[in-house]
Amino acid sequence: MKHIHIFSSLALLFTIQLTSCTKDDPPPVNEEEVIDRVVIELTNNSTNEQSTYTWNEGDTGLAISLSEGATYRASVSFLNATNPADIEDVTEEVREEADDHFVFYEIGSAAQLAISSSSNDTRDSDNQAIGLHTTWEAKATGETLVRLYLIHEPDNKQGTTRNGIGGETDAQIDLNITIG
Amino acid sequence: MHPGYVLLFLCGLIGSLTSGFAQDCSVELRGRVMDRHENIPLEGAFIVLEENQAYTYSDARGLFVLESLCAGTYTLRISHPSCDDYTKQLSLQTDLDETFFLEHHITALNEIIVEEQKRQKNTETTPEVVLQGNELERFSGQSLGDALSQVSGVTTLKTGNVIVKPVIHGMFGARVALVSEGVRVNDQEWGADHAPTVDLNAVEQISVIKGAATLRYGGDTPGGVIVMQKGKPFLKDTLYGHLLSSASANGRGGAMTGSLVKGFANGNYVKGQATIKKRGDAQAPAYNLSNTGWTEAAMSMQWGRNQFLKGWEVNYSFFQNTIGILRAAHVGNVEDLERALRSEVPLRIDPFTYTIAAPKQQSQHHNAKFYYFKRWAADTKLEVHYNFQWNQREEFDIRRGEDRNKAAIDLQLMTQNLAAYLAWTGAESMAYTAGIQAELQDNFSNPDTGVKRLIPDYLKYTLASYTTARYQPDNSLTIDAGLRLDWTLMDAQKYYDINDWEQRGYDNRYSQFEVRRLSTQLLTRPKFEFLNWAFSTGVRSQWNPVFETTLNYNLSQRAPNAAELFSDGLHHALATIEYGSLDLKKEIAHKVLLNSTYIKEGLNLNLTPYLSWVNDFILLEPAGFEQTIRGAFPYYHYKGVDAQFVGVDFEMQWRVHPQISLLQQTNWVRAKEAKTQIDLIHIPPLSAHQKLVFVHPQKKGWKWEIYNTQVASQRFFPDNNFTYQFIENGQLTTKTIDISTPPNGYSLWGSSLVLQWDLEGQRSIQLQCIVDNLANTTYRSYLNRLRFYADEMGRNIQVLIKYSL
Repeated sequence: MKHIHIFSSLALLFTIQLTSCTKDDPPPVNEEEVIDRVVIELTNNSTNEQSTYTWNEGDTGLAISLSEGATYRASVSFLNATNPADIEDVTEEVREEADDHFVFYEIGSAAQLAISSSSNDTRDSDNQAIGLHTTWEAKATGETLVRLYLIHEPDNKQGTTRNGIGGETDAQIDLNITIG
Repeated sequence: MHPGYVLLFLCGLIGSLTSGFAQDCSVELRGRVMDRHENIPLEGAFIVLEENQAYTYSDARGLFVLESLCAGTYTLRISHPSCDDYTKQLSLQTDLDETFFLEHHITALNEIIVEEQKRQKNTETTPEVVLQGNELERFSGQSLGDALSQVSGVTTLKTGNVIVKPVIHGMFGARVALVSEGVRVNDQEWGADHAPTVDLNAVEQISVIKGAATLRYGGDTPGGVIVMQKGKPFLKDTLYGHLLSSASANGRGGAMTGSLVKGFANGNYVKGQATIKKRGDAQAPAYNLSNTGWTEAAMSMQWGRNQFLKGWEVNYSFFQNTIGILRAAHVGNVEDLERALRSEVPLRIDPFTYTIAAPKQQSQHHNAKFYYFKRWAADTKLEVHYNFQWNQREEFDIRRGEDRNKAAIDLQLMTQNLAAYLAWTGAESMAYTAGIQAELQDNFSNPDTGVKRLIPDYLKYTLASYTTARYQPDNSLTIDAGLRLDWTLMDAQKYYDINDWEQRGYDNRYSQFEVRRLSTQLLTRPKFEFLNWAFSTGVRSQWNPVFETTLNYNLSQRAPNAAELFSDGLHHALATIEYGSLDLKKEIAHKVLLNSTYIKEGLNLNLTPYLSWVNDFILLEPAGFEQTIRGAFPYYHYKGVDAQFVGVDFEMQWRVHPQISLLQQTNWVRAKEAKTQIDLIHIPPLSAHQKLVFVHPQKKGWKWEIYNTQVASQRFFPDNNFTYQFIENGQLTTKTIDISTPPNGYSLWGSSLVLQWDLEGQRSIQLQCIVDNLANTTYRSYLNRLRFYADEMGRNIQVLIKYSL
């Protein structure tokens, strides 16, 4: 007899849940770690002229114009602009976790352009520069492709090729450089 | 002396005198002992011919043979604990083959001596393989998938070496059901990289049914059903249990599991069981497989009353595990993938550690059940159950900043199931079953992860009913048929990117699902209803004492699941993005299976060819490239295609010598898309497994095995390669990324030794030493999704000690 009682109550519980089961609308998720905007600021060392280039997710390459023979100081920032009302600067986290990050500039034509770390670049705990602040030298006229990578947990920051550095790519954009 | 015996003796004498000069003493009595009520074979029945005291015991299938009998008339007596003695007069002139049905006699309840574990068959006309005891316990420290891989026709799809999913006849995932204690396990095993959350050590018997024949558990599993069962004490005052501890060299792991069962004469029983396992990084022959450790903790409790006419049970089980995903398998984008493919060794190799860091998976599973059964008139049985399951799966990715330790996926799945089953065996030769089921499933995808939901929130309602009938006029013929109907309603709430929604044309076809637009996202409420039929029929014929065939046809229909409909995300291990599709239709699968068995004098041969064709078979197909901030990713979407499967399983068991047995299993399966004739992905290659077993002539339970597995290189696979442009030496070069070509075939050796010592009472100690991959072979398996990054595990030496109470 008691089994009937137990089953009836369970069946009732089950039916109640069945009929009263409606879920509230789930809240949307705004991804916090997404990087969907990269901003590069270039300042001509001689004229102090500043240009800002912005790449948004969905854009193809970023076109950058340089003057032949000029040297620039450059800084790159990574942003989360998924919520236009609250743009997050992810570069801050990259700086805080400098040990785990590295910005690599893969240059197509070394004859045209040279990029090196500048004196005010962020350094990690092994005193290695991570590439947030760099010096660009436009050597000769022409065009070249530069692939900019934000690398997470690189194996070797001294590497000269993407393969040599290892790690995982968190951001990768193509810069179409024109030197004239 | 009883006059009957005198008469018999005289008859026998006359018979033997009149049968001619040379007395015919080569008559064979062959038979099968069955339980009339459960309609299952009775193992361990004692069969004796009173006249000459020729005796034997029935085996696991209830079969027995008495050979070299002289022609004559005999009194056959069969006895078995829990049944009344059965006697029959037999006239043996030529070979005789008969089935004997024994009855539990109600008034004899008080005198019944308990039977420990009965091997229960789930089907009559579909091949079913049972794993028990030793064959199961050797995998105590490993996973369910590893244990199942020894069954002919079952292979495994792995993601690393801990996440192992069973593949039956080339089908896996949602097409293979896992049933534990009579209820389907609901644990989100929709993904190929999600292992079942069940404790192998909590069950005493695993049955693998190749095909959808058991309509009781569902009608949507054309691959097959894996039924896990626990043993139950029966009307006996008893205390038994075991403690099994194991250690494995590869991974420096250990496991301990124990159980204790107390039964009472009135039918009550209590059972408790617990398991803990821990292992560090596994080792390939040449290097450490970093971040492949795992831990597991599980316990289960049962309390109930098991009598002949009625019984009930309340049980609860808890399972939890943490699994590390090979660190080197986590890639950023296509370029990282290309680098990993080119490298001979994993890109990340760290020294051995027990620490499990991201990427990793963590799962928890609670399972509670209330069960009741009642029997009437010895031919009707009613069973009712209520089952509650709660499963949480968290996946931890490599994240930045304050999100470092937060899960990237956090899914909580709650399933409730209410069912009733009726079985009736009253009519001569006929047996019927019927059942109804109601299920409610609620999935919650936690937004606190800060990552867009891979699987959305949903509610799923199911109502099902089935009926089966079996005709078994005698031991040589069984015909059964079954029909099942499932009604399912899937009610989900999902956010889509407005761009995606429009690009895929959903705004035209599914505008009725739109709920609310936000800045870049759209809240939708997709609702789908499915009405699925399943039909199964089979014939088992015993043509002669040595040859038996079963022919089986199944029709099963499977509704697309939440992953196939709504998937939306990046799989780091494969650097691919997967998208679900709202346009998917239900899969309709037909399977025809012919199983032939030849058993004679220690030789057991089994051949099972099968054919399957599926309409709208759902699979992932490459659909192009997607450029994101992280770089390029190939993306796949779920699609329905018509597919054909053909395969054959072969198995031989041969007792060459009283102490020596040889086992051979060969499996082959081929599957293609019907229209394009392109092979399907992840179809197991041809494999052969052989084993030589030596049994000690005197010492009970002592056994030495040596075994070998040969796996061929899969020559039939789809070309999902793609090209990509890289910067190399200042130039843009196009390269082909090969993710399709299967690795080379391989051969693995292993050996195991089992020793046993019986102590007083029924206590015993058993020691097992197992060496897998004895030759420390370096190899990669096509069915391991992480084969791009690292070799498989090298040699593993395991020692298991079991104390049975």
